[in-house]
Amino acid sequence: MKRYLSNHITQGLISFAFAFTTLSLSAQSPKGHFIGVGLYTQNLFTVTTSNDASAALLGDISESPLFIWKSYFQPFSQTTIAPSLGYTLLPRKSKDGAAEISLLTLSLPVIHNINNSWDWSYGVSLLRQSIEGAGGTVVLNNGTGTSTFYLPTGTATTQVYSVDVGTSWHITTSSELSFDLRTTGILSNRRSFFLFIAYHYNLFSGGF
Amino acid sequence: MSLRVVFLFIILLSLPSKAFTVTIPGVFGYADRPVIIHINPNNCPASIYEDTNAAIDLWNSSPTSGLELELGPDTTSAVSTFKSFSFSDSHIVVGCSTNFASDKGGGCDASCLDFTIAVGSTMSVGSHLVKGQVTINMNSGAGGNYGLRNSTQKQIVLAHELGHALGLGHTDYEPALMYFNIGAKTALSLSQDDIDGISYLYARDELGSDKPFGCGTITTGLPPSGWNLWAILGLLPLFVLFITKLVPSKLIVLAK
Ligand SMILES: [Zn+2]
Repeated sequence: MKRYLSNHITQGLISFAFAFTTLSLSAQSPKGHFIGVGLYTQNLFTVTTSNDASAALLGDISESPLFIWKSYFQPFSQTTIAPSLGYTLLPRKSKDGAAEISLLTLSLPVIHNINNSWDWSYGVSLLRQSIEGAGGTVVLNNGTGTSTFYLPTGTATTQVYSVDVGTSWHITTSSELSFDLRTTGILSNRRSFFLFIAYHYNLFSGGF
Repeated sequence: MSLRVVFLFIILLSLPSKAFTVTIPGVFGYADRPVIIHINPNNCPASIYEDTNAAIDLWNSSPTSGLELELGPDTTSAVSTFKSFSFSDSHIVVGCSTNFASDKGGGCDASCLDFTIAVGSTMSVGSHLVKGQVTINMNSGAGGNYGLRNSTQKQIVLAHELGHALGLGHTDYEPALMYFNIGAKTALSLSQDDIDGISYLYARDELGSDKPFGCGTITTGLPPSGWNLWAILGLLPLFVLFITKLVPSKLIVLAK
């Protein structure tokens, strides 16, 4: 029953997001449609990036840029929603091309206007990560000699929800900079913080 | 701000790549959840439960993994049966050996006894792991004796060996828990490479069998939690308000 519910919530969320995206493409949208490029960093405060294994405040910054489509849509007079779809066209790669890790994000934030230049938002996202390996072997140190280890083969896909808060700075009417803090596993010991920073540009208004 | 500036920023932020490995090719972790760990406390320091629990909490904290490790009842299976997996306990066993040269498996000379604190391994049937083991060096007089380590080092050793018992191999990414040499580490933590590896073996699927928002997993005190979490979440709107009230008027003038 719980699994059934969870699947239906998910399907609902996805259809909702796509419906709004489609609708916003055909209907009048308050701010328009943006393309963007972003960076993300994962597991703030907990993950290590240093040899002494100390936690990195800013998490692990991915070298792989996210390409984003974002549309503003106003379903009711007082509510603005900006569904967005982000994807790493160039997946982050592990050594020797042994594994490629792609991230797809689907976000559904509700936007609150603060003033002419700033918004803040809250919402939910789905983060879908696929880890794809070409297989093969590698010989690595095992402390007293060497051992053969196996590089990942096939694809494993992880899908997690996040609860998001964010803010956008509208630099001009056609460009904006957004900061989003996404929390996965918010109700558990898997709680993790992802930070997304993106620059969005309005496709149809022209001019920087 | 132009797109050119953004792309330059991305290139500057490029980091070295990381590569996790697995011990058995084509195998995706244990089929059952939770994965149970049984300790044989014979010859182990009293801290063995605390060390194992710390290692369990660490692996369970992986955000994109569906792995659920749990401490089960003690086992009486002799540590000498571990290396050949001839014990009847389900999943993973942890034990301490005073005859590490024999119990390690594959032989262990004097220098091995001085440098190897513990070993971990796993076996599979079909496309899943079925058993794993961690054998700890408690050989008296050996430099690799687990009992000589401080409590953080003990937990790091156990977490690393549990990583092997869960199916992970070594990596050449030095900050990783699964790097072969843990001598430089002063804290118990995972790197993104460890998280990628454990997520590959035990992918979390909140659209499938795993509950959304991490529900259904054991809640422990890993940071940030409790008051810290609520403080961060509570202060965020204030922070947003602060930067939007104070910063924009000046910045916008600069931008236009
Ligand atoms: Zn190892």
